[in-house]
Amino acid sequence: MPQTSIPPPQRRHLPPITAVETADKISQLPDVLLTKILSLLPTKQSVRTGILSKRWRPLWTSVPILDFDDEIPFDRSESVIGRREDLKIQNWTGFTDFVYSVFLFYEAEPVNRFRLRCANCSDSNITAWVGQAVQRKVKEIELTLSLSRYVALPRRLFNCDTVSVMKLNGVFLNALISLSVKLPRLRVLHVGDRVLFGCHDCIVMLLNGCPILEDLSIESTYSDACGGRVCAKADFELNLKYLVKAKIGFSWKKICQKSMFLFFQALSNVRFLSITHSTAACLKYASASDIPIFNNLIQLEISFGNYYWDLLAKLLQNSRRLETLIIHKETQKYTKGQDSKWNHPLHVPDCLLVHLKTFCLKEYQGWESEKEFVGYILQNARVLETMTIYIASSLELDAQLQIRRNLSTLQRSFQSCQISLNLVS
Amino acid sequence: MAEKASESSNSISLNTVDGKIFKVSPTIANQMQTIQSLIKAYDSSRVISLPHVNAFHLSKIIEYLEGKSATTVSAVKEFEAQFMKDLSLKQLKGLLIAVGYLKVNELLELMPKTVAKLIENKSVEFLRKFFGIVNDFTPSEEAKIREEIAWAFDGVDED
Repeated sequence: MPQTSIPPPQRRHLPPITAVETADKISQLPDVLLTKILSLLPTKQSVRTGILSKRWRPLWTSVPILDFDDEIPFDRSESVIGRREDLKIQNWTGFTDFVYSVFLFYEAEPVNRFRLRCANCSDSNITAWVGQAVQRKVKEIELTLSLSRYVALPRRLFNCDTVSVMKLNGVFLNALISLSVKLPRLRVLHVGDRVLFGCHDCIVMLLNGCPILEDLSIESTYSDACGGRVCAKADFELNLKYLVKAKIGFSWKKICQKSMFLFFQALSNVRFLSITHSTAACLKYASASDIPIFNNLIQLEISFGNYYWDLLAKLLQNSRRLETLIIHKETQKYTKGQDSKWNHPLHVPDCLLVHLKTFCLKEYQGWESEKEFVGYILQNARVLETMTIYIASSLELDAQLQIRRNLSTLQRSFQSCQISLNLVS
Repeated sequence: MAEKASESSNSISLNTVDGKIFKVSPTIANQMQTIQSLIKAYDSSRVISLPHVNAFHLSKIIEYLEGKSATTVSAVKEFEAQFMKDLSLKQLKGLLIAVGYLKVNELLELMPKTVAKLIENKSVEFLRKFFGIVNDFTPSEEAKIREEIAWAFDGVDED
């Protein structure tokens, strides 16, 4: 049989392979594979490999990932606090110099991911580095700034036509109000819980500049200065037709409530929706017409400080294809005397009759309204497969046992229900 | 039935450097990019010689390609973790070369992750030994580079 031999792979600086044993030939790995390995390390470590040999010297400069973290190296031998402060300052200037020199030597473009985590840095440096990343056509940018102040970000970051993923924390978004935002490729936007904005005007401005957004998470609950022009008038339009996933965690002041409902309506296309307790507390004022019809929603996750059962009923009524419902009771957020009663809706929501397969309730405390709701689900969710109830761990053991007994009795009273009930304490 | 017959008549023969012939299905062969381009370029009935791949490494690659087609995402993850765990360091390095040569895309994603974990936070000496690197810098050249990137060496265990 004729044999076809593969020509040896193209390698730089390497002699042809003769021996069979490959383990010794690890030094002959192609550059592309080594670059791939280096891209999985923090930049500090990949730069360090420049000292290994002449061949390795330039490798890190073509790694398409930049991952900076100014964490202070742990010094085992040092316990004197004053000395540690010295180290801190030394480390900080060292870090700044380091990042600048990396940019000086760095050759990769586009930058697939730029990640900056820092606790000690001047605003002008951060602005300069973010600018560098934008200039090098960054695709994903992740800023986790834990400075003692919030940092304003440069205008060019919000007018970048290459960025598709943006994750921000520890920043200040007020300036957006006077800027134009144009992020034509942005698919993922995560605004962390330490982000400051003067008013939700900024959020509306930001989202209006992201025409193809698919995944949105806003966790900042800051709203002290709310009441901006757009927000108070509630006359904006928001088009988020490509949005698939949303996590909403902010609270709006009462004067801006209309804006909040308007914003909420713009989420109507999502498949996955997560609402935190602060947002739920604002949405409790929503009338039935304020809640959009969620035609695509298959998973709803909602946290409550106090239960707002009417809000939940409205959401269920408008989410016809819902397959998974997760309720999280945040016990520490509970304020006494405000808990509502579960009232059976006039019609059983469609999603319960034909779609809901998974139901989960976390931090169940055995309250009357909880029992009523769980009973309603057991009675009406015809295709339910799994019900998981996490019993609040803060309860006394006796109370937990009592809840277990009650829930088991409840399940038995709805015999037709072929579900698996998991009780977790 | 018909599918099985055509599969076996289409099977591709691969000859490793230590002289063992493997017969693989086109589905498996096509997941090795280097072989895929060879099949396109030459007559697929020929035996394809692989001068840089030994029988052990090829058998591991085939084992991976057959095993990763598990049904669920978590089952695939579990299989991959076990697959990597079963390899000794020497085998891992050898396999990495074979995978790089044959261009098995999924292993080219998976294996660098394992290697990165192994070399994370390790000293220069460790890395030289790991990658079989001969230091070709003069001591003064090395000192100069070390000075240039001094910050990168902060907080490293030089074990």
